[in-house]
Parts: sequence; C-alpha cells; structure tokens
Amino acid sequence: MALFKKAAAWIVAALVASVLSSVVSSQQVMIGLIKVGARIDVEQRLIMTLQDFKILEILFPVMCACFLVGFLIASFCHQRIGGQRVFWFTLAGATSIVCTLYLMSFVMNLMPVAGARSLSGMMLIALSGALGGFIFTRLIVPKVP
Amino acid sequence: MIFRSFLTHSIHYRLAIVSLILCLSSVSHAEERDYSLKTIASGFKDPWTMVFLPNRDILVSQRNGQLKVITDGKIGSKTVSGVPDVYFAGQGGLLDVLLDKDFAKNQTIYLSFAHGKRRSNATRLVSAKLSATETHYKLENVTVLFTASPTKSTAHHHGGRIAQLDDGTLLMTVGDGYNYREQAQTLDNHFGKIIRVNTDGSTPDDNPYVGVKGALSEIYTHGHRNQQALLTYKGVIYEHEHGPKGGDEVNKIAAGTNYGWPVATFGIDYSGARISPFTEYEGMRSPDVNWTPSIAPSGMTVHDGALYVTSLAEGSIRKLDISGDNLIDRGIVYSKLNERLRDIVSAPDGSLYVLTDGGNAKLIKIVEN
Repeated sequence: MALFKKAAAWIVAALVASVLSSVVSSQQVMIGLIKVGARIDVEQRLIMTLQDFKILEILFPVMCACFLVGFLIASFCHQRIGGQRVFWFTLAGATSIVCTLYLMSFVMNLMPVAGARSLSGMMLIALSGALGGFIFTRLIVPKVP
Repeated sequence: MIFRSFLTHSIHYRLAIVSLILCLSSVSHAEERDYSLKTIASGFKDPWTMVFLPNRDILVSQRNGQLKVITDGKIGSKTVSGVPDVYFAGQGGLLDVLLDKDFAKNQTIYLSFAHGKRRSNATRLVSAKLSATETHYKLENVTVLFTASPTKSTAHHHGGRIAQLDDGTLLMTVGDGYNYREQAQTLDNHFGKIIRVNTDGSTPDDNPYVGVKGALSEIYTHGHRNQQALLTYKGVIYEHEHGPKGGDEVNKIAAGTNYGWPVATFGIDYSGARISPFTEYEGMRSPDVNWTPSIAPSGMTVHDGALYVTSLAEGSIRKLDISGDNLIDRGIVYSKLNERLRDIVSAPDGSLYVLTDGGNAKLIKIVEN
C-alpha cells in the first residue's frame, strides 16, 4: 500500500511538472516569436499552449524517469546527510530535469525542448521540476515513529 | 461497413470520394517510367554531393572531408589533396562542391563546409584552383570567401548549398543552426539566410541590405530553416529546405524576401509542440510547394526542363514541373531506389545520377529503357 501511494505521488508530481514545463516551453517559444516581430493574440496563445500538450507524450515519461532517479538520490541524501526532506526533494525535482535536458542536449547536440533553449526558459522548467518535488513531499508524509 | 456507408451516400459524395482517391494516387506515383538502375560506384562514406568535371571524372564530397574521384566507374584511382580541414559532426562536414561557370578557363572550384569545433562552428565558403595530373588532383590557392557569423554550438542545420548567378556572384545557404531558429528573422546574423558574395569574397553593391543599419550586407534572403538545395534555371533561383515534422518547402528565391521561418511554417517540432501559431504571415512569402508530412528533400537538379528532387525520408525522386510562375509536384517518378537518397545530378550524357545516403553509399545511374 505504501509503495502504491509512493508510485501515485511520483506520477502526480511528474505529471504536474510536465504540464507546467509544457506551458513554460510554449510561452518561451511564443515570446521568442514576439521578439522578432510576430503579433500573437490571447486566443492564438491559448490555442497553441493547449496544442503543445502533445509534448507530454515525450516529456511525461522523461520526467517520470528523471524524478525516479532524482527522488531516490534525494531520499538517500536525506537519510545520510539529514536536513529538511522538502529541501532535498524540491532540489531533486529541479536538478533532475535540468540535468536530463542538458544531457540530452549534449548527446543530441541540440536542445530537444524548444522552451529550454534560453536560460530563463531552463530556469522556469527547473522551477516546474522543483514544484513537482515539493508536491511529492506533500503527498508522501512519512510516519513519525 | 465502410462500403455500405459509401453506397448509401449521395452520388455527389461518392463522386467526390472516387475523385479524391484518383487524385491522391496520381500524386503519389505520377509518371513511373520504364527504367533500370546501374550502380556506378559504391563504398562512399556519408557523401553529400557530386559534380561532373569536363573530362567526365566525377567528384563526390564526403562529409568526413574527403573528395572522392570516380574515373571510368572506378573509385579511388585518383585522389584530391588540399581540401581544407572541416568540422565533421552531426550534419556537418564537407558539403557542397561547385565548378565556376568558367571552370574550363579558370579551373576555379567552390567548396562549402562546416568549419570550427563543437562549441564554435560555422558554415564557410572557399574558392580554390583545381589542378590535375594523370593520377592526382590538387586544390591550390584556397581562399576563404565567406564564414557565417556568429558561430554556433550545434552540429546541425549548416545549409552550405552553393549556386552561381548569371552575373557570376555566388549564393550560399546558411541554416538556422537548430537552436537559433528565431535569428532567421533578424538581419544582424547569418542564421537561416541565403547570402550572396562576389567570387573574391567581397559584397556585391546591389545586395538588398547593403547600407541598411544593423543588417549584414551579405544577406540576400532570410527566414529559412535547413536548406538542402539551391540552383538557378532560366534566371530563376530555386531552393528547398527541410521543415521539422512537416513543412518541407520549395521556394523561388527573390532578393530581400522573408521566407517566414520560424514565424510561418506548416511544420511542428519533433517533440510534438508547435513552432508557431501561424502557417502564413503578412509580409512573409509562403512556399511554392509544401510537403507535409515531410519527405526530407535532399538534392535537386534540372532535367528536361523540370526539377527533380531526391528525398531522404521518402527515399524517392519527385518531379516538379515548371509551369509559368507555378511549380507543380508531379509526385514520385522513380520509386525503385527505395532508400535514403542524398543528391541528384543531370549528367552530361543526359541521364540522371543519384547518390544514396549513409556510411556505405552508392552512385547510381538511372538508365531509361
């Protein structure tokens, strides 16, 4: 039962982070177009943001995988080093997605998520990952002995 | 069930369906001809283009920086020295080879290639004199005519196709570098552009952005993504380029025109996300031919007054008829090859030569029966 709850929390955390990252990426891409002179109204912005959820087919499994590794490391660090649990998992959420994107970028020699090409986009996606880590700690509250 | 549904609909509906099926089938295989394939040479490693020399030798560029020579169907009996160092990674390396239109007199040859290193590379255009002996070719007086600016840290979307206009000036495509796509819309850089220079590397005075504040004077057109072919025919410049997922384009090139990328495109990103909300946009020229889904066009040549285009993804040769101001895609005309095709050239003997793609590529002649 505990394992099932952890798995459910992990999936919810990855889903929230993925959806937020998708929204961030869409806005970053459109900001890039606006900077070079394109005029995008609110309706067009909303439609493109919704259509971009297609990226979840790729982003969600990637987020699940990197959260799995990140949360295992966070759990290990929390047990061995101590400190606030929420700190470790929030940090893990942020760093795991950033490391994964940079690793993919290094291997592929290009950035697979368009919104992460800029520093501001990467930081916002890191923030999405951090929120995913934070949500995981809120959903799984360890029993006090 | 579908058949029953078809029968119960009106005659107009049925006629429309039948017309659509006939139309689609005619587009996919328009004029399949009676022909056979003859392998001229094989064993090429990642070739990019080929060019026929006046003595019928064929030069084939390999992205690893080698120029291979085919003499009487044999590869390697002659070598080429003096090829500049190239940045060979991703889609980069030695790219296009073009003979000057007065090659018989001046033996001048133009090469394009990715230059630099992983974190700092750019597309470069050089000229050289091709001298020949019985067993050897040598590139001499290699002169840098143009290097794209700024450099990039990706190994993709280099462009590199060269064409020479009737006035002798040179055009070369420069890709958007993949990560830098928005810069194809601004004129302070060479990403996603076609540039035009004189044969000595200087900028022609009549380039469209000469004297425009903040614009680089070599720019001829902008708003391109990953150009694969560029040629002139009867005074018209034709170019094609890869879209991402969908949005492959054939364009007629006019000085000072914005071709839209990435603001206006029929393609979507490989991740599934949109590139832009727009497929067309005011002030940006729409493609003359749009291939969605992508066929990944590669080479292009003029043959019997039409354009023939090879493709990587579709593994086909398509014919585009030139009808007045229009380009009409007649669909696949040679489908037997059925593998990734890199380039196509109309040979001096009137036949088509096709270069396949990859690490063990072949040069194939299409023999009409």
